[in-house]
Amino acid sequence: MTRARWLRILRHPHRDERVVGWAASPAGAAAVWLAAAALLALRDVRMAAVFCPLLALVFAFPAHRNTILSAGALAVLYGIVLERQGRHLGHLGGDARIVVLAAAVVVFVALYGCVRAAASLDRLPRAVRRRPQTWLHLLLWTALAGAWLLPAESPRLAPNVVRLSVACLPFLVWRCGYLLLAGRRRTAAGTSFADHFFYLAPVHGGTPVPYGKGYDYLADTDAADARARARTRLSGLTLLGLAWAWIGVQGVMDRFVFGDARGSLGLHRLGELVSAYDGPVPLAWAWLTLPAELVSSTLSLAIYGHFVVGALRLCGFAVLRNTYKPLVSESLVDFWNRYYFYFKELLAEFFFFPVYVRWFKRRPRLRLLAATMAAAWLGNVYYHVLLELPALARAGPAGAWSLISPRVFYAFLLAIGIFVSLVRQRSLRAGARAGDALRSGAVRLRRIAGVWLFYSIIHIWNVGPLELTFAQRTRFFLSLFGAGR
Amino acid sequence: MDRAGHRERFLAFLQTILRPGIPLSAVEEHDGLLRSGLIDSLAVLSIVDYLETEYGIDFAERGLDPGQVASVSRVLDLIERETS
Repeated sequence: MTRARWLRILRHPHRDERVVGWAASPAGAAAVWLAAAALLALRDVRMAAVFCPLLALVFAFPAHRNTILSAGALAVLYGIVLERQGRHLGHLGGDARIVVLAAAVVVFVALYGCVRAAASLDRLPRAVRRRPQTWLHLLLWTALAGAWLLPAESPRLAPNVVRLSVACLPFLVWRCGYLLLAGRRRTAAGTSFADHFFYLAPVHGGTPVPYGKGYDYLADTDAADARARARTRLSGLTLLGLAWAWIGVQGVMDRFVFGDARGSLGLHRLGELVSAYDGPVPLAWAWLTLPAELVSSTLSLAIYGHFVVGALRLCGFAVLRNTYKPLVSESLVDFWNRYYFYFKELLAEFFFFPVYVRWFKRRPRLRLLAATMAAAWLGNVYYHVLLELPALARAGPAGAWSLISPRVFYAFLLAIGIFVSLVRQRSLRAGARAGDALRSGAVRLRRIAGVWLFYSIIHIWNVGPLELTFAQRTRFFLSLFGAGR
Repeated sequence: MDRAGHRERFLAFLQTILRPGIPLSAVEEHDGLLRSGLIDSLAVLSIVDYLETEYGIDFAERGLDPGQVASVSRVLDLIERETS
């Protein structure tokens, strides 16, 4: 075999039919599992301890995959509740285990109810059928308000169980949203609880953003036969390998770009600079920090996403990557699509499309503006309000605005940038097609540089801890132009 | 109009939104248009506009599932369902 072929196989083993054929054999499947288990365990032993035995069962009994992963989802659900107990209700003392267990049961019952509602959406009242997402969020906010009214510290079991159960809902709400979308599209009819539970409490990992979206997308990307499964597993394994390669690159960056050691550029992290904008940092170094931070944050997101998507692919779902070469994007909208795919999809499906298909149909530009602002601005802010709700609730109305206002501004700039990029792409589509082949390297580089500049600048209002105020961030931005130095 | 007629019209439209350098002959009926990189996400909106304008399909009532416009065959299924 030639060296070029070896390299090709190493980069894309799932595209080589002989390798795919071998991976579909029992010995090949065992080798893929071993390699995947090693790559996952080196990253997160606890996750691997739950996931890898289940993966072995999935490899052995692919027809029962959803049931096997749903069994793991029980452990994940308990873990979600436990993590929130530690973060929000750490004072429960000796009753903690009972409260966590009871809350896990309550959340499980709520998820079961949600699956049943989606599977028989046609039988629900017309108002719910027409606007299931609105009702889901109304229920969420009713539960949040109810929990907020309960005493913060109570010796009784019930209030603590309710508060803990409700604290888990912001993690689950977008997954339930996808479930209800499947209900509305009537694809959830006739499905079992196990067909949904495994992505509601994902054993493959994830954040409140549902990597792999929901039932429809997973069903659409499900590998159809043994060979397709082998191909998908190999692509998952490749992604885990790529994640480790990016971990190596990040280590090099930490050592030679951000570190204090000899030979390092000695750049500060952007969050540190923002909190001490008038520190002894030369202007050029402050500017250099912006792209360095963009690269670093992209690597972090890619690494996390590759592990989650890699695990999903190992289970037989040929889902798209969360991060796919965003740093070579030539437009703002392309970067947004490639940087954090599943967050973009969440905003598109729950905010952009609903507005786009309902409002301003006769005014195309206004239609696009309304949908973009609804998704990239309002939807983005709403998602983060839910994410940071405990901190916002503790801070009170004025404090909450102080905490969230940088995000509001960041998302506003993002939405405007995406809208302008969308309009530009649309109006230039025909011209760009003709001129695309002729586009020179210099033009491409200039476009890429523009994308880097935009995203690294707006990142100033997004980076670092929530406590960095709008004024601090804006002062740092102005200091880049010499103001206040 | 029958399915073949709808197909011809849709392919003529698709030609205008395909990514640069991709010939129409490269598009198979069941290819995932977005997944295989034949079109970009912006083109999904163009397909929605096309279906609204040409066939009067109202997505406001039924909601928009990007999966419905994921391939030529699915678009044709949708047209047939909505115009029958």
